[in-house]
Amino acid sequence: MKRQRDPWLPSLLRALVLALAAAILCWRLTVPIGVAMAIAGALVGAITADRLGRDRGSPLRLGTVLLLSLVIAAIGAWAARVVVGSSAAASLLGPMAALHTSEAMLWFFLTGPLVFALRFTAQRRPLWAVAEVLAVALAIAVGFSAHRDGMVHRPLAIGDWAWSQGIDPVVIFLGLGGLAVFLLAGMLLSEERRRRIPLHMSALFALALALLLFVRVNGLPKPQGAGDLGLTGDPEAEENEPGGEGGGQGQDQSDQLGDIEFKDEYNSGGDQAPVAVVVLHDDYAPPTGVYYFRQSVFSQFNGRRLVQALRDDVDRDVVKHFPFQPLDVPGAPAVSERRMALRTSMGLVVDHVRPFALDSPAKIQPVRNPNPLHFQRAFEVRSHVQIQPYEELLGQLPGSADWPSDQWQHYTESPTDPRYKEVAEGLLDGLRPEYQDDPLAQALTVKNYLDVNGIYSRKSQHADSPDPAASFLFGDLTGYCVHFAHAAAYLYRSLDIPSRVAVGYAVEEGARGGGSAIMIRSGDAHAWPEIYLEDVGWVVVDLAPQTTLDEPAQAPDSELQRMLGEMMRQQPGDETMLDDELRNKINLAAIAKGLAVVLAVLLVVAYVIKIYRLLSPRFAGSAEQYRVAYRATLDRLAGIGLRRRYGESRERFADRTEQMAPSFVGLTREHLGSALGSQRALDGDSVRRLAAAVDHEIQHRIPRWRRLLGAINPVSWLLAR
Amino acid sequence: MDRTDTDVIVASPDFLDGEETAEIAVEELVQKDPETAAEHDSAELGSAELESAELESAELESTAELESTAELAPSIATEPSVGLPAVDPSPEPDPLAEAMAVMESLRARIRSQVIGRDGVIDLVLVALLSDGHVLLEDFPGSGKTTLAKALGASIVDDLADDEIASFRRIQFTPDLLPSDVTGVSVFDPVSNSFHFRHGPIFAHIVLADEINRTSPKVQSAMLEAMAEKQVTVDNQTYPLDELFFVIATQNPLDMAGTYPLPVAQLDRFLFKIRMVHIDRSSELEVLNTHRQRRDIMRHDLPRVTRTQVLAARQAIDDGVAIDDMVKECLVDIAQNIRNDERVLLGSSTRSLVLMLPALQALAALRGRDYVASEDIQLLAPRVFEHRIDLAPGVTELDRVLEDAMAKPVESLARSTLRRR
Repeated sequence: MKRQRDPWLPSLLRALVLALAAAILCWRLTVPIGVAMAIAGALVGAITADRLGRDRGSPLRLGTVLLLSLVIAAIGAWAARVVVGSSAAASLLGPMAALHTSEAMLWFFLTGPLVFALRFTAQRRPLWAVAEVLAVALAIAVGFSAHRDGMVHRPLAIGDWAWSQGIDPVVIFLGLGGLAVFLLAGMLLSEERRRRIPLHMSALFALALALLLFVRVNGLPKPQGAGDLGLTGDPEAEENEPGGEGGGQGQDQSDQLGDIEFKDEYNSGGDQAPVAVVVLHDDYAPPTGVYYFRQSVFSQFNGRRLVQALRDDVDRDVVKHFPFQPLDVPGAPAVSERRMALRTSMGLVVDHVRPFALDSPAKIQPVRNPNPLHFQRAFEVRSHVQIQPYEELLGQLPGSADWPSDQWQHYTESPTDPRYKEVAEGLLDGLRPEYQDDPLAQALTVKNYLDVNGIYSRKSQHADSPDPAASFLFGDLTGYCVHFAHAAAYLYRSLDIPSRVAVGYAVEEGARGGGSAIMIRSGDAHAWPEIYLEDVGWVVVDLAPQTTLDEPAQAPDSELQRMLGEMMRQQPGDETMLDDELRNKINLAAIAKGLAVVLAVLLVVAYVIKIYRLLSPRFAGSAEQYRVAYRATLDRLAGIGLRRRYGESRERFADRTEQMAPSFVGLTREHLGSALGSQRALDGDSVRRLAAAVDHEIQHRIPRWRRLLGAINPVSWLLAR
Repeated sequence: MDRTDTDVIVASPDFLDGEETAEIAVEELVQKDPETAAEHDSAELGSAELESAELESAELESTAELESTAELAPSIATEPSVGLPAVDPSPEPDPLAEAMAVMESLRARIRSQVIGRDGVIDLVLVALLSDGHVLLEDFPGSGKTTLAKALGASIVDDLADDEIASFRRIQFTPDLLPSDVTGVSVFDPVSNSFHFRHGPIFAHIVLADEINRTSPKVQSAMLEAMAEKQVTVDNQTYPLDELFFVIATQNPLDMAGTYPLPVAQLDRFLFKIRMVHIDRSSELEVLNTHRQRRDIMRHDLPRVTRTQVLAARQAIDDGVAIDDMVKECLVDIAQNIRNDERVLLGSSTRSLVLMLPALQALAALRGRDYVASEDIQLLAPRVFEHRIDLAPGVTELDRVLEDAMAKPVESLARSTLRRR
């Protein structure tokens, strides 16, 4: 007879979950002994609280208990400080031992009372069980929060190990997340003592598995840089809906695709999230000190700002679609003493509306994605990059002699506002006479003016003005790259220098950190002006305001940059790629094999138990026959689908089965009589004969197929009760 | 083998001891199922086995037959004998079998008088055999007096002359006085002394009609008699007979001008039986056999004596086993009821103590010499339901009891498979 017992299993489970959460939380903050003591504290706290809290009649008041645990935690923390702070303890134990003692005390007394308070509150006020669950969820989430924003290698403690084992940590994190959900749900479920827990658990497990599969198939959600100038997005959407939203968020519906808008508040959230990685196949240091990756250009003046050209004969060096086969970019500058060819491999962590490439691309070809889990797409670019310093570009003519006049017009059209020309020409006054007519010198003069006087800020107040560039240039000169680029382009154009605004990413050379991989982050999105010089092509004359109101950008995570570069370098067709696939397959097969073995073992065990129970009447003594023979008969009946319902008495069950096995009524009576102390119970042989009679009746009344099914069923003995 | 003899035994398997029941079960299969038997011969497997079983059963049958016909057949299956009860003393008397026979003849007699109330009759018999009292809650004209009278008429007072009648009925009214129930001391001018005149409570079977209509004073006099089996008048205590059985009734609907019995007093009754209207066919039968039954009553079925009833009580107490698992089950049910949030006042320990003989009696009535979970399932609700005070707003007493019983009963059923 079962007695009313304390539900120790749910209690223990909860305690383990809380201990695990405590361990994850303090793992990065303390030495191993501290972690161990945190686990111990959580276990002690949870179990004690369960013990005390369950007794509703106990005189402990909730407030008192909470206050008390707070006091204990404070005293523990203070004692830990004393141990590590006093020279007496250090000289007595030695400095290391003192530190360890202090850590152990601190964490034991922090987690113990805290967990105790949580658990006790949850016991007394069931609603507050939510707080407990939240605390566990937060502890786990905080432990892995470094992984967000595309920082696939963090937290390093797991990432390093995983990479070294050749496992993508994403898989590990997903597994851990699933485990966390599993534990949390287990915790919640164990509050309610129901029989359905196994069912709920398996449903949950299936859900977690489905999530894992979804990610394997669809990939992880990619971090979206908030202010990316509309560079990122789905390239398919562009083709289907040319007039629609440009893909990047924050764009107005009315915007032309891929156009940039003047905004008063340029959102800089998620700046650090990587959007792409570029691997340089050769060493290259740009003369400007900045790598410019151009995606789109804006050269047509629409009366308010520059937009993408509607004509086909201009800006032909901009690739508008991701190519499906190697594409030679028309209008690319040729290789000369000014430009050299440089191969780069691009891997897009976030999908973009258009390809972008190191200035200036000559050939783009798609390549197989080396790591679909982390890259949306990959392509290779041959760029003819500028190697000559700016001084040597002096003395070139602006524009090209081949251009027809409407193309000249296209590149030099600017607002009718006369102030642009006034300002520009006013600036030229300071120029040395020999450079008075040199377009590059003129442009650099303008740039100098803006660099010195302009104030960089992501917050500005020009967007509402009819000409935002004018509002910026003749107003407070405060704005971000779009303002600077437009203002500079208008000023260049007012000096009859053909110019345009390019949009893409700009990464400083220093960020490369000496490696060959350049990680492009969301915050690297940039707009800059370019001018056209005869025989040279489009030259970036970017601005670098000396005054900035914003915080300086953070240096990129070199670890992540190196890792993404390594990932990118595993080119398709590589042996490693093949190996990976093979290994995946083998793993699956091994798992399947393991499962099959486990199943087979379970099956064998089930059959052994079944056969044992069926045969046991032959070996059991006479005194046990009433039990084992009856049990064997119950198993047989369960096999053919006759089983006692929950709460049904044995006699009633026998009555119910009388149609099938009339002798079973007598057998049941004998069984109960023997079990419950009848004086007139039959001896073992007679009981066995009765059981045989039941067996016989079953054989003659139940169709053969039904009996065969019963015989095959390995778990029929589990159904008998 | 003799077919008719077998049929007699099969017809009343309740009175066979376990050995015979088992054999008959085997034999029944062979006899009543000719197709199956025919199949046996052609069946390739197991036919030999069955035949051997058949043979053995026949062998055993012949020995069992002698005993059974000797001790049981006269009491149950013979032609009705006139006059005194017919349980013959057998050469080797089995007291439990006799007790079962006594119960069966009581049951047969009452059933011939009261139609469609078999369940209530069984409960009343259980109460009688376990020295308890019953409270019937039903509507006027539903046969409770007939039931009580039939019971009273079935028992012969074989004591020498005393003041105890075999059956009395007391109709309770608000102006009744305790002495109307217990009796009163009367001055006898001849002997110049007080002389106690016994009240109607001095009987073996007392029908206390509408007990909730009388004042608490009378009720308590009644209840004292029930609990102590004695009556105190003028500081003089008069014992009642050992066989003292009260069937009290109360009308559940008409509550105006009543003094409802508190839970503590209801505790004195073993059962509170809620009667429902009998079904259509039974009601029709009541009308059809109305006259007939009145005639039969006098001389048809055998009656039992007071001594036999008391002996049966003793035999049941001695002979019906109550396993420890059964007791644990009872205690668990009571604990579950007390721990239920919907219950203000759970059942008393006394109710558990009272329940043990009732379980034994029911087991005997069902032809068993051990108490099984079925007995608990039938009796527990009837024993506990009037002893429970539900929390305000809770009405589903049946549900509460069901919940409290489910787990202990199930684990009792399972425990029989366990090694001891």
